[in-house]
Amino acid sequence: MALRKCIYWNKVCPTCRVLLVSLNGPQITIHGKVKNARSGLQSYSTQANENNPSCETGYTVSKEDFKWVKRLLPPSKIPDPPKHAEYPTPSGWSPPLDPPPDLPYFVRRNKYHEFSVTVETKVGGGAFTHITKIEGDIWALNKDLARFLEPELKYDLATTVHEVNQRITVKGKFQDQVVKFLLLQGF
Amino acid sequence: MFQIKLLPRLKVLHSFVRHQHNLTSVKSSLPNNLVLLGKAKDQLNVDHDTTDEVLPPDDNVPVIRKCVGTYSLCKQPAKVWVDSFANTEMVYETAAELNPDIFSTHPRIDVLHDVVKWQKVYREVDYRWARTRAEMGRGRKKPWPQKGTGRVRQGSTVPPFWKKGGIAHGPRGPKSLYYNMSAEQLIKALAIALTIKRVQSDLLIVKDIDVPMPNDVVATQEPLHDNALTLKSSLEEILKARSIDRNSILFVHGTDAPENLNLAVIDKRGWNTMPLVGLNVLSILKHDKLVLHLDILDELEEKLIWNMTRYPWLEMPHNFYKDMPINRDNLEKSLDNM
Repeated sequence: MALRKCIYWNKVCPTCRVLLVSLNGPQITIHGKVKNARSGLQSYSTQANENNPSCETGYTVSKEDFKWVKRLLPPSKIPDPPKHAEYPTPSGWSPPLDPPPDLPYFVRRNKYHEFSVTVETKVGGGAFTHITKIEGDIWALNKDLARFLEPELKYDLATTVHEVNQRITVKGKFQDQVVKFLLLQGF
Repeated sequence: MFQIKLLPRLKVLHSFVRHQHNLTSVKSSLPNNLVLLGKAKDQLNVDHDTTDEVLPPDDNVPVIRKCVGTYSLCKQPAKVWVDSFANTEMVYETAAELNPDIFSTHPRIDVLHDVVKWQKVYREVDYRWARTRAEMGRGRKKPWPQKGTGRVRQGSTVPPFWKKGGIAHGPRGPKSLYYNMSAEQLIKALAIALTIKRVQSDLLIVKDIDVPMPNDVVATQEPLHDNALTLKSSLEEILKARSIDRNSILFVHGTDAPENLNLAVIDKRGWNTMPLVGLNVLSILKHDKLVLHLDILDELEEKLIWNMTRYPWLEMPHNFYKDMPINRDNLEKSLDNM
């Protein structure tokens, strides 16, 4: 049985260089690379545990060194942004004003400390800019936003205010302008 | 062709959270929790009968509990009275602060509806089943000859367009209605449900949730039913003093189950107890009133805020993170021991 198996391995993977040391015993010892060989051929592992300290692959328990493992554990939460010397940072990010600006509305940051302003593109070439996480008087925000954006445009701004879901949709791609406006307002 | 019906602006909604204290001028026919703003406030300037109304705690009331976790810059912690079941009458002495991101969020009814629908549907199985034309058990015979009868030619009596024929594209067999709802949506909905309970003054924060055994009654070991009856009557008294004895109530407690409360509730329909881990949207909405133990608020807020700010790819959280809120004390201990 052992012989047949070996012949089989020799035939299937000739690049493996399987060297057979003993053909008589039930165990097959194999030297060299065995990565192309399938299961049933590894005979190195002896189960390591505390009761068997003579095992070559045993281990020692070190409670002091666990601090290095602790350091490698990843955080599960998005960390708070560090304090920078000056704002805006080179990436253009700046924190919200604390205390918040005295306005009837407020726009929150999302969990990544950014504004939830997204652009939805349509197949025909149309695009919509969605602003979410709005709190307070959404109609006042809509008015101020239009007042900020309209001087650069040659047409009236088309916006939709969804008050129940606290969302404003602007027709067109205005992500950068809207974020600029919100930063200027101090959110 | 169509006449577009213009919906009125929902002015009542837009400051749902910020102006909840403007309850002074509400027309008596309107519900008490409806907030009127702007023109509506002037037009309906009818004095509301405020004799029975319990005003929210002001700044002078000592706060025995601070809220846990971060919250929006524009919000203030929501203050509520702290009750105790140790007293039969309600005593307005101390207040507790609640995290406004959980207890005064915007009421997104669509999110709430999604989650309630999911909770009702995901455990159901659709057993509807209709026979196709192959399963009718007949139709092998040609109903009439091909020619000579003057009728349309037909080869079988079971096509779907025949009366008593098979059903095409009908419901087929048992089908699981299970689907997954995102954790983000569930957390949002839980915060909304808690907000609604608080705003409608259906939320009760209780310091001692366990029902005290009356002094003149000696607690008996056997039979258990005698204790339950005594405790039930004393709980009824407690709730009657708060005028909520006729409502359905959900009592939410921590890991240490209040034994007397569980006994008192055992025989009463509509009164239910639940540990914090079981708190869910459908149960909150099914009960009229929600009673939360003061000690579970920390855990509740920490877990919810952690879920709101955690990495979204942690679909199955485990303990190999630095800052897990779940059994964090145990984790610290186990890490120190290692």
